[in-house]
Amino acid sequence: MANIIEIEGLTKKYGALTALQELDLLVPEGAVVGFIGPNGAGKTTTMRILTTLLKPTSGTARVAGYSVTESPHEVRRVIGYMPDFFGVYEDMKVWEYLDFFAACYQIPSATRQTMVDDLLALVDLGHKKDEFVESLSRGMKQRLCLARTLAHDPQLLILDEPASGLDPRARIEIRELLRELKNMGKTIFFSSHILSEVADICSSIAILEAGKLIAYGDMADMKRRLRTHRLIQVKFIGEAAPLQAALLAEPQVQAVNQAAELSLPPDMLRFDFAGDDEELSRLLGRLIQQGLPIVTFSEETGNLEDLFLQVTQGIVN
Amino acid sequence: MNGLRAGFHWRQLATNPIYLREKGVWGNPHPFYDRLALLVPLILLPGLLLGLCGAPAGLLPLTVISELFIGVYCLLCLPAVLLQALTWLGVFMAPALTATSLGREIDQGNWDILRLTPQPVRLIVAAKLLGALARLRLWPLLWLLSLLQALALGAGFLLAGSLYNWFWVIPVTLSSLLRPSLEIFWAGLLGMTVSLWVRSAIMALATTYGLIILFRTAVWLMSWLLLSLTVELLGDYGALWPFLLPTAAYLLASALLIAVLAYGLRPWL
Repeated sequence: MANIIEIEGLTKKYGALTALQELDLLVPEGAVVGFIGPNGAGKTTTMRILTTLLKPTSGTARVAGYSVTESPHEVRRVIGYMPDFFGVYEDMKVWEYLDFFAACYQIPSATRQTMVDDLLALVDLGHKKDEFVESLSRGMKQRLCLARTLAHDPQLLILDEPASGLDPRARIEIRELLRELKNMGKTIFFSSHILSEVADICSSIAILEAGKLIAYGDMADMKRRLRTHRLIQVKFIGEAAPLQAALLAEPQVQAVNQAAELSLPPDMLRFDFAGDDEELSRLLGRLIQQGLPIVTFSEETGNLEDLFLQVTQGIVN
Repeated sequence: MNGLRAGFHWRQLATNPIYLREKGVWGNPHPFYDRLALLVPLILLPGLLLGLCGAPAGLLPLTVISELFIGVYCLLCLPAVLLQALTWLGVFMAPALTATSLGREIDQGNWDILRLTPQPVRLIVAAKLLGALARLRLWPLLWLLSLLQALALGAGFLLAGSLYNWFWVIPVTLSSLLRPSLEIFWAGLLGMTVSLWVRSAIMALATTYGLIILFRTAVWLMSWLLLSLTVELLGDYGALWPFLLPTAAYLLASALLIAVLAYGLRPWL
């Protein structure tokens, strides 16, 4: 599959501050990439360079084969961009807003009306068509803005914090919309602070810190690669001490955390295990043989928050 | 210089969506202008007074020179008053349309979105300025009165015969024809330029009005100063200053503002 985004050695400096440092990134067509990192990591800078709104200090960035510095007009035709901070023309009606931007994209008036109706149906705002933009909720405005990015049917959507400041329901609506766009074959490159949201919809994640890409790849691969040990949770009946002693006697058990240390219920504990599935199975067998009253025995899958905390060090530009 | 490379599409300006948006085809981008428009009678009153004082006064030196100009003076008096009042109204209203223009787009985050459309930056700015000015409803009457005044003035100069070289008829007539429109265009352009640096709408408008008053006063004073200083040296030709200098000053000031605006827009070109 061809790469729709190709970034090589991308650097952006603002005076003495290096916002981006030798960034390399390839995004294949049709992928949904979550771009995460602490505030000031350089996410917005990367996105603004990709959208041709900002010039890099050095390095190259190509979108759909076009250089962002040499062919900005061609790049603009293939991208739809939603900035983290955007305004909507509140004096316009909802349909007028989309019609105006479609006209700016030189879409003939004969096709605009159908296109506006289709876009409003996609973002579930058809019932608000004749209302003024100012009467929309923040979530609706966000969806309207997303519809605007689709006016010229771009291949690639670059969305900077598409769900920021939204209530849980509006966030779910945006997430569903992104899923629908993914099913339509759009490549989506979006940044977010809401890691669960990224984990839910993206196929790959890129983690940026202090202007450097510190991790990038398929979600499952990344978790596997970054995991040096497995976390196993055990629920038991009675005293924790015998179970704890039995676990500490096992050579592959590296640490046993009691419930109080982890805010777990008192009948649970967690331990680090450095072995594969077979070794884990044998360990469980030995514990049962010793007559320890185990109720559940499960591996913590680890979420994106854990991964994020594991790879980032909190360095902020 | 993306804006330059993309070129201009001036012929398409009349159908440009940003131009049409400023004119009010999509929504109403100038609610403040609409509120201000309710005060037109109050704005016209000082305009009429200014016209009564200013317009005929500009012709007074000529009446001293030739009796023929007394007829021209009387002929021009009423339309000239109306023309002055209309120009005053335009100069007052134009910044209300343009002084929030660019600053608001940048502040609200719409500027980047507009820049990503296939519209070149220079065309966006030109469309916003001309579209906003096109919203003023005074243009047909203004142009009619300007033409009337220019023709009458040209005729007056021709009738004056030997007093002036015929060569001066053309610049004086053209100057008289252009000046009212140029003043309004300049005021609008000034508002837009100020809005690039002064983001608060009220501050931008206040700054623009302040600069307009200063500039108009300076031009008026300069014309009369030059008239009084050079009338002995240049004879009758000294009386031409009030006709030629303001138009030249507004032309130069407009060119300067375009350069300043282009400088301010440099990061986005």
